[in-house]
Amino acid sequence: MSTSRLSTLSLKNGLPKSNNIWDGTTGFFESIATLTGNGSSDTLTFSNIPSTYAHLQIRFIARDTRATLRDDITIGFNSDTGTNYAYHYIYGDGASVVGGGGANAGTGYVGSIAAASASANIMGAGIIDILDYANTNKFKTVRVLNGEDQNGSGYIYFISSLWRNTNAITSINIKTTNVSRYFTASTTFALYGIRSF
Amino acid sequence: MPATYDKINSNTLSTSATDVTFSSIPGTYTDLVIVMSVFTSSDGESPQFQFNSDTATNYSTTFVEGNGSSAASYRFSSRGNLETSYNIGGNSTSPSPIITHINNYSNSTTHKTVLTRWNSASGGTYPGVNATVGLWRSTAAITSIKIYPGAGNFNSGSTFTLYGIKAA
Repeated sequence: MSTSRLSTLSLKNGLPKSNNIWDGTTGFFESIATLTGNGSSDTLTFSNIPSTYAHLQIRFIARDTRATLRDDITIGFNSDTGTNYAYHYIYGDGASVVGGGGANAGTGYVGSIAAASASANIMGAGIIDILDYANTNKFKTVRVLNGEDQNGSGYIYFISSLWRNTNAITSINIKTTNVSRYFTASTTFALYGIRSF
Repeated sequence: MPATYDKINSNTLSTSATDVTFSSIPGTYTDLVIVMSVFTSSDGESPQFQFNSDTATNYSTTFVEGNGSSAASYRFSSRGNLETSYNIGGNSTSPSPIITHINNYSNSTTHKTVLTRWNSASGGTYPGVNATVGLWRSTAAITSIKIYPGAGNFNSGSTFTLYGIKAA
């Protein structure tokens, strides 16, 4: 996430002087779109993403209808379902730390969310960062901070995913791991664009 | 596109303090981000959060850490506060940076999940890279956040800034 637009003249004691963190009359961290689950779809898709930003960030809370305490969710770009993804993760489950990953996968990995057997109103949450998403000279790397705590169980994840494609990202889909597992109506994914100079 | 990543409030301690509270938090944003750079009166302290003056055992946390030689995970359940980070250093020249995210803090339908990343100063007593996921079992919108160390004080020079992010 770029903060280079924030000049030192706007800082005092290391903090922004004004209530708006970004210089200028236009924002550098902008809301692009928000998607909400509806209880009948396993996929949420951001489409027609403009290429005018430097980076993207997705912020979410999520739960699905799988009949377990939790479920995994995945990410894909530009409708590419080929084995063009890889991912690595480290997580803590409250007792042990586990690392893992996958190569030549059909999706990237976003992490763990609460599911239907979790106590009511418990969600998973996360922040997904995609730097240089519109750059046509680079593969796309995704960083995720994700977790869900259920007061006696839960997972906290650091995740990195790679999409081996130099195309600019114009669409992003977030999916549960099975077509019969639906995002609940309390699920929201919010997409933001971050500008640079 | 609406531009929105606003500073709501900030506090830089000119003297040590037992706690810092952000109150009257507006419900007009989607997410909150709390950015802290803290020193504590002794090594190894753990900043705790309480929301809306709730001191009941409605909080729980799952931790993961790496300290340069090993990795570990812990859990606290049914507590009277949310321990978002721990092993904060008392070193007066190497503060611990802590960033806490509370997505959808103002909705009245879900319990609140809190994500935190922080570092303890390398060279300090408890160096490490860490993250937590915490849960406040309440569907109430968050209107106040009290932050305090597990023991002692936050030292002078510690900074606390509350940001709001608004989705379209």
